[in-house]
Amino acid sequence: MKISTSMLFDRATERMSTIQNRLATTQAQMAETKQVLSPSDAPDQAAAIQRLRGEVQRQESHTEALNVAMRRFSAEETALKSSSDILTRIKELGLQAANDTLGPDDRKAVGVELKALRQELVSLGNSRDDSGNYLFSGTRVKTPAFLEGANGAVVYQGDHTQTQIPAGVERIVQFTRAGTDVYSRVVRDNGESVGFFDALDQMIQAVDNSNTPGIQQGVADTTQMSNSMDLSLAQTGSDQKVVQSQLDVLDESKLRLKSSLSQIEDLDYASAVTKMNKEMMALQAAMGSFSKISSLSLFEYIR
Amino acid sequence: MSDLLSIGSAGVGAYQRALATVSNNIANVSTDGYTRQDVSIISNQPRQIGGGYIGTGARFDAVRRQFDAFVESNLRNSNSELKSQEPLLSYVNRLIDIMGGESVGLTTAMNQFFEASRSLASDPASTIARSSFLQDAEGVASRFRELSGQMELLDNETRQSVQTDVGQINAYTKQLALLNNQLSKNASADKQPSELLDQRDLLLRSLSGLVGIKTEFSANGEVLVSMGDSNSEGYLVKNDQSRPIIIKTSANGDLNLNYLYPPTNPVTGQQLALPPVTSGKIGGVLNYREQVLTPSSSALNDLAMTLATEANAIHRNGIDAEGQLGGDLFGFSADQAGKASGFKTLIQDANRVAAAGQFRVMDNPLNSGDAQARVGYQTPDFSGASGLTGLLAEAQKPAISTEMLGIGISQPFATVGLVQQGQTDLRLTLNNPSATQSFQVLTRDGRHLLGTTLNQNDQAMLMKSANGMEPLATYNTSYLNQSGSNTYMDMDIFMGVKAEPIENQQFNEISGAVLAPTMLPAALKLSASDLQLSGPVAAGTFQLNGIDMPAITQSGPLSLGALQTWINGKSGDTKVTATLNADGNSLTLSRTTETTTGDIRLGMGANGNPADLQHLGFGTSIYIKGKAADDLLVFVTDSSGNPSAANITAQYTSIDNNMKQALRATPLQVHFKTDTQYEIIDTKTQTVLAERSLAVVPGMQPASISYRGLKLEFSTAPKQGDKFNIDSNTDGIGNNEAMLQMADLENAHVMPGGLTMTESYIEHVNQVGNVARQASIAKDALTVVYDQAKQTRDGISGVSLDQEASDLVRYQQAYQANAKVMQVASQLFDAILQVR
Repeated sequence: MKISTSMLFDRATERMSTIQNRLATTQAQMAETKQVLSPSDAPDQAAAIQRLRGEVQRQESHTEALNVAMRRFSAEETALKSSSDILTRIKELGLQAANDTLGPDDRKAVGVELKALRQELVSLGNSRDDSGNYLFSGTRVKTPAFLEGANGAVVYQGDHTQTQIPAGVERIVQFTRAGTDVYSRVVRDNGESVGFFDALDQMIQAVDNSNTPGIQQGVADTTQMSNSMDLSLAQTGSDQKVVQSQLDVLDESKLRLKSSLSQIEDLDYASAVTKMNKEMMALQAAMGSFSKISSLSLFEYIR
Repeated sequence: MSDLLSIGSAGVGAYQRALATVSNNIANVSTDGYTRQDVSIISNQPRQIGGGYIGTGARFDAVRRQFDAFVESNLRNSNSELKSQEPLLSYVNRLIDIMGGESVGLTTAMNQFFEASRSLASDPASTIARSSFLQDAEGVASRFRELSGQMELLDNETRQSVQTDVGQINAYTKQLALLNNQLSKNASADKQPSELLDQRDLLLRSLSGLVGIKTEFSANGEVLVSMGDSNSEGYLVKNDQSRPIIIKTSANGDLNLNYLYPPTNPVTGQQLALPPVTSGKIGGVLNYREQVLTPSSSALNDLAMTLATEANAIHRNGIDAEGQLGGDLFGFSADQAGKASGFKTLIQDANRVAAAGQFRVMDNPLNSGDAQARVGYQTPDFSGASGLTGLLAEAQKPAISTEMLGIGISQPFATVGLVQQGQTDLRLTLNNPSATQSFQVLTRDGRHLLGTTLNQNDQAMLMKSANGMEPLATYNTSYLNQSGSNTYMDMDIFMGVKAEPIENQQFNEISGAVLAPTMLPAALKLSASDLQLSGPVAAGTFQLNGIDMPAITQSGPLSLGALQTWINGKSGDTKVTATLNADGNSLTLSRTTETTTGDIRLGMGANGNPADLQHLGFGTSIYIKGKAADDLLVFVTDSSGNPSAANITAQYTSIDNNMKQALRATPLQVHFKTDTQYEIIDTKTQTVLAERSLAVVPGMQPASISYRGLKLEFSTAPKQGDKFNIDSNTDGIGNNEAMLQMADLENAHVMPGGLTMTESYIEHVNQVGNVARQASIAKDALTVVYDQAKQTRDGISGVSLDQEASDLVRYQQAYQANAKVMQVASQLFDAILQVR
């Protein structure tokens, strides 16, 4: 079949421009280190890329929330540890005061130290986290947990709502702690429930008045208080463990997702460079052959 | 000789024209649409000389156009098909780039929004977290608007492109009509100038690129152009007539092509419409609009609607930093309701972001048990009546309705219905009751408020969850027929007959302005004609203003005078006196103290029943003044054992029912009297609302407590003496329940097909991507077909310089040979002339 002259030229230029387009694309890919430059390049991959990117983002935001929780738990732990130490000291002082070898004046001296320690416990109960929220007020995070009234009695101003924060897919982590769960009431042998600070105040009064049965009751109370403080400490510790292991899980899944994303999106340099060389060679061949063939014309030979 | 000359000259002339044709071809080597012209040289008629024939040479016959109609039409069709895929592919790719792009696409903005809700859930008290939540909400809204704007841009562009092309089509068809006119001058296609036919074919090819056409050629080369099947009637160009077409936008944005002046079918008389466009550039663009752009646009609108509805429902259920119920978070601007282009946030103040839940439970710090409680709310689904029965439900002032209710034998009660919490100023009257009929009003937890004490059988009959009772409800009569501050939740509820002071509107006599009304004292009238009471009457049969009335020992029918004595005997306690009127036919009871503010309540005592009141001439009514504080179940019982009917009349002022907010209005306390028996107390009125027992299985979490939709769960079994307070959480700023639900919305399957919002969006991008891939594959295939067709056509009609060069040489030689013949002829003639 005959090939017309215009077809010859058209065909050749068309082919050359196709190769040039391919070369330009490869060059853009190499410059951006991405295989998929715009979603329309690989429409079937566009959806997968979006999904993976969203997943990575989600893992990062869960990690952020868990880091906030970690900071809070360590602030709680600090407050609880100090409180536990103070309670130990109070118990020591109580045992000391219960000892009959002490006189009323000595007991008064012990009472002074007890009062100071009780004050410190109140201020530990009012500890705050980095954002200025009170740790032990439940959800009333802008109100101090324990308020000392005009008559000296300490009143709990927080609430008991248990807040939870999302920490991953289908995972939630307990967040707030009520002050009265940590500085919890004591239940005496006769079934009577007495508040934490009320019991301490009674003990201090007993020490001041040299009331030995009262002091002994106070020592027993302190043991109970210490036990429940340790329980809360253990709980904080285990919460921290849960959060830490969740953080590790998140890190791993983030890595996995990122590598899946990279496989779809990122450029394989070795094959890209090879492709570029191949295309350049093809372009050179097309151009060279075109110039040779187009110069052939019968008119040259008719003299 | 002369023959030789004429043969020679004729030949020269012929080859001269042939050379001209060849040079024409060479000159037109790059002309668009040019078909190669070939010469046909035919021999002349032979002449008979003697016994034989001698040829007379050759002459130039015609220029032949190297043209194949089939190949040409093939080329046109494949051109149409190819041109329909190109705009489709390019527009679809643009849409994908918009929808799937990082900065313009929706998924990034939505992920950001949910991330912000998660951070806010971690620190609900922080104003910074609240502000950034609002910012990200605005981010989502503005992304919706941008996307919608980009889609609108595409819509406009495609419409304009179709508009331009339609104008172009009209220009082509007009030119074809003119061409047809010129072609009509010759009778046969062979005689037509080749250039004219080339022009015709070029126009047809350009036209086919824009829209798929069908052609019919007549003998002289004129063409009939049409779209679709109705060749003869639905034509675009016929002879020298062309029909312009126009594009119209319908209400829903669809584009319709039609004739500018639609012709009528002479046979059927109907108006002809343009057949639908399927190929060509216009076909591709219309296809794109219909299959890709419009569905994407409406999917975006649907997504916006769903996000707004779901997020608003969650937000309205939450409490903001100021202790108020949250409002709508997202909305649409007035003129763009329901469309993504009008999507916006409605909250500007960070303090109005509702993160907290509506209820909160607090364990009393002195609880000896270790149970920790959690509270939630779910709209309850009670069986039984949902309002007053039948017509009684429509008895809103000024209307008043009456219903007849049947009472059977096996179930000797009738359900009057549910008085909803918030129903105001209700009056329910039992007309003409028999001695054994009585109203019974109970709460959903079995607190009996009005009526007669129920025996075991009646209790079992009424206290069923099918009647609307809460599960595990127990019967209690502490609030039965109480008055004043001893009533249930301090409600003003009374059964009997009541007379209240009446408002008398006052007007200024001169100006007519409304003045403060005066109150007319309450007055209860007994008339002699209605009086049917016979003594002796036991003590405690009647109660006046809460005081039991003494016995009447006199037997036989009682007169008004006797009643007057009886009433006035107790007026020190009841504050009510009775006065006979002048003609002695009626007895009026009025108050001694608080004449303009107090009311008169005549009710039944422990020994009385509604029939006794009927003997005094009064029906028994239930009066609830103000709002009903709780849902009340109203029945009519008949203790006679025979079937009967109860005639009930009702009227109320309004219903302002919101149980959830009523629960929030006053704090509740759950108090465990033993390890399993508990009572629920309204702390404001100290009313015991419910007494129930808790199912506790050792080793397992205790069952939850449900009260009017509130759900209370315990971590372990509570102990005797434990107290739990439930309140409305107006100051629990660290509570994040509502925000947790907002964060969960990300994974909620709210879109059709069980997909989450993000998934549904990505799915749509995927679908558009599929269209792009198919279009790309189709385009590649069609390009191959088109190239083939083009190559075939060029093979027949295209000019090859090499071929022309060889033709040039051939004809040149022929020309020279013929010229030589003429030279020889003249030499021969000279030879004859030289003969002396």
